Amino acid sequence: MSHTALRLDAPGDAAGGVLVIGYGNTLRSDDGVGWHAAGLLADDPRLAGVEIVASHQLTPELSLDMSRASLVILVDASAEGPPGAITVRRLEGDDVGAAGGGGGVTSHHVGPGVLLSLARDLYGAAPDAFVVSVGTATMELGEELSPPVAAALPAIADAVVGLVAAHRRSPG
Amino acid sequence: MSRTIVIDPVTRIEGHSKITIQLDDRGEVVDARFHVTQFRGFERITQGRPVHEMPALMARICGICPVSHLIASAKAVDDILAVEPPPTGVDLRRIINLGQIVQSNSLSFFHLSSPDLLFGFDADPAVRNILGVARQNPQLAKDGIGLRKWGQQIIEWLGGKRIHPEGIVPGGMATPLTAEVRDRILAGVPEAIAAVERAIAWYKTDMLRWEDEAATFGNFRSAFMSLVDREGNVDHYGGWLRVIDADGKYLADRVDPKLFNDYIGEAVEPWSYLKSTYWKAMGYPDGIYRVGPLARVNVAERMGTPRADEELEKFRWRVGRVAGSSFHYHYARLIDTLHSVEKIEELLRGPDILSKHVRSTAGINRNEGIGVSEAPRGTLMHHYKVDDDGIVLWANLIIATGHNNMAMNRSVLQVARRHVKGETIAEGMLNRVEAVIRCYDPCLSCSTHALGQMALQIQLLAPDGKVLDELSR
Repeated sequence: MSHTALRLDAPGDAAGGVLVIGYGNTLRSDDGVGWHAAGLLADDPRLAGVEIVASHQLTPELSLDMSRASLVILVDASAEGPPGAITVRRLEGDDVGAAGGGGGVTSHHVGPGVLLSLARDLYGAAPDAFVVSVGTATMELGEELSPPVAAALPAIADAVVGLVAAHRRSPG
Repeated sequence: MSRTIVIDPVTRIEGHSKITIQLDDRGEVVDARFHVTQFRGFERITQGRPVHEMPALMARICGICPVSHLIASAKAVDDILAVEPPPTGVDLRRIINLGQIVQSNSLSFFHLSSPDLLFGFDADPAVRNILGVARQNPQLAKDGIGLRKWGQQIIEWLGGKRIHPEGIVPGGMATPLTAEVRDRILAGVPEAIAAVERAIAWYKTDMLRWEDEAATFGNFRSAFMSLVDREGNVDHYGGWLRVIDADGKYLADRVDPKLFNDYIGEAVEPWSYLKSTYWKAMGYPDGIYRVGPLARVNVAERMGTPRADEELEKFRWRVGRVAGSSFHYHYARLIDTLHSVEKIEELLRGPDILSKHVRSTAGINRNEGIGVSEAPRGTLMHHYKVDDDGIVLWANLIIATGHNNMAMNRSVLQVARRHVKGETIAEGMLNRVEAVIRCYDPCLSCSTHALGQMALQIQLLAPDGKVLDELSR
C-alpha cells in the first residue's frame, strides 16, 4: 500500500506510529498551507503507513490521538519569516506559551504545546513532536496559495519525510 | 470627562472582537459594546460558484461547526432543486447534525467554560484554563475529549474521509449507512451518555455557588427562538420556528422557516461587522431575542428523549419555565448534548436507517432557496439566489451569533455595570465580561490562527481616542 489514510479532523489510532497533522483555513489563502501539505503528503509513497490528518484548526481531542503516536508532526502557517521559508522546531510538553505553541486560552483553538501537555497529563504519553512552520505572504480571503508558498510544498514534504526517516532510524 | 475601557480582544471565543465600556464622569458605566472587528467575506466569495458546490464550500467557513453550515446549505440547495430527500437521507443528516451538536457543545462547556466554573472567575488565568482542568479534574477533561471524539467520529464516518466532505449533498446523502458504521456509533452511546450525565451531576452540585453571578450574568427579559417539531419537541434539523417572550407566551408558532424574512430584520451598526437581527414586530432594538441551547430548552415543550426530559424537568424546577439568565446556557448546553446523544441512538435504531435510498436528484427548478437548521449556537439560516444555470448570484447567511448579538451587548452592559467602578480594572471584572460573552459561545470564525496567540489587551481611552491607561496579559 503506497497510500496513507487521509482523514478529516477526526483521526483514530496512530497506534505507536507516526501522526502528521496539517492544519489551517483554506479560505484564507496561505493560512491553509498545512491543509494543502496534508493532501500532498497523503499521496507520498515515502510516508506509507503514516497517518495524515487535514484539519481546519487544532482541537482538544487531537491530544488523544497524539498520545497514541510515537512521533507527531504538525504543519502550520506562520506569520513570521519570509514567504515559503520552512522552520522545524521540536515541541516540548511545557511549550504552552511560546509563539505557535500556545493559544490555549485563545478562542476555540488550542495550540500544539497545549495538546502535547494534555497528552502527557491525561494519558501519560510523551511522543516526540515537531512543528513545521511555513512563512506566509497573505492571509486574505482566497482559496489559492501565493506562488512562493505553493512552491514550498515539495520542500515541506521533504522536511516531514526527513523527520519520519530520522525517527524510524532512531533506536527504541 | 467620560472615559472608555477597551478589552481587546476577547479570549476563548472564535474570531476577532473587542469590548468597549463607556464610563461617565463619575466612573459609572453608561454603555458597553461588543465589537466584531473581523470582516466576514464568505457571502461575497460564493458569488459565481455553481450552487452544487455550496455545501462543501460553506463547510469550510468554520473549523468548529462545519456540519452546521453543510446542513443549512444543503437544505437551501434542496429548495432550489425543489427536491425532498428520502426519509433515510433526512435521518442520516439529522444524525450527523447531532454529532456536530455533541462535539461543539462539548468544546464550549468542557474546554472553554469549565475552567471558570471549576476555579472561579477570580482565579489566576495561568491556572484557569484547559490544562488546569486536566490537572484538577482529569475525569472532566477526559469526558470532554471523549465526547468530542465521538461526535467527530460520527461526522467523519457519515460525512466522508476526504479533505472536502462529500457525505452531505443536495438531495440527501451521498452514500447509505452500513451496519458496521451504525454499530460502531452505537457502541459509543453508553459512554457518551455516562460522560454527559457525570458533567450534569458535577454542574448541579456546583450550581449553588453561582447563584449570585447568574443574577447579573445577562439576566434580562427577551424573546427566544428555536425550531420545534410538530409535538413541540426540540428539533435540530427541521420543523417550525417558534418564538416566545420572556413569560413563555408565543409571539409566533408554526412559522415556516423559509418565511423567516417576513419576521426577522437585520440591522447594521457602524461599530461592528456583525449584523444584529431583531424580531420585526417589536422593531429595532426592542425586538431582542436569544437563540442556542438556552433558547431551545426555553422554547420547546420537551426535549423529546427520556433522560434529557428528566433533566429538563429539574432545570425548570431550579431556574423557572423560561430561564432569563444567560448563565444558564451552560446547564442548557449539557441537556442539549444529552438529548443529542439519545436522539442519535434512537435514529440509528430506526427500522429503515440502512435503506439504500438516501438521495433525490433534480436540476435547477427554482432561482431561490432557503435552508434553516439548529446549529450548536442556535438557528442558522442560508439564503441563496441563482441563475437558470445554477450559478450563485447572491447569498445571505444569518448565523446564530448574529441572532444573539443584541443579547451579548445587553449582557456585557449588565456585567460591566456590576463590576466596573471607577478607574480600577480588576482581573475578576475582565474575566466576567469575557465569561458572559462565552455563555453564548460566539463563533466569528474567520480568524487566521497562524497569527499566534492573541494577547488580552485593555485600554482606557479618552473621548478623543487618547490612551489613558493600558493593561495586557
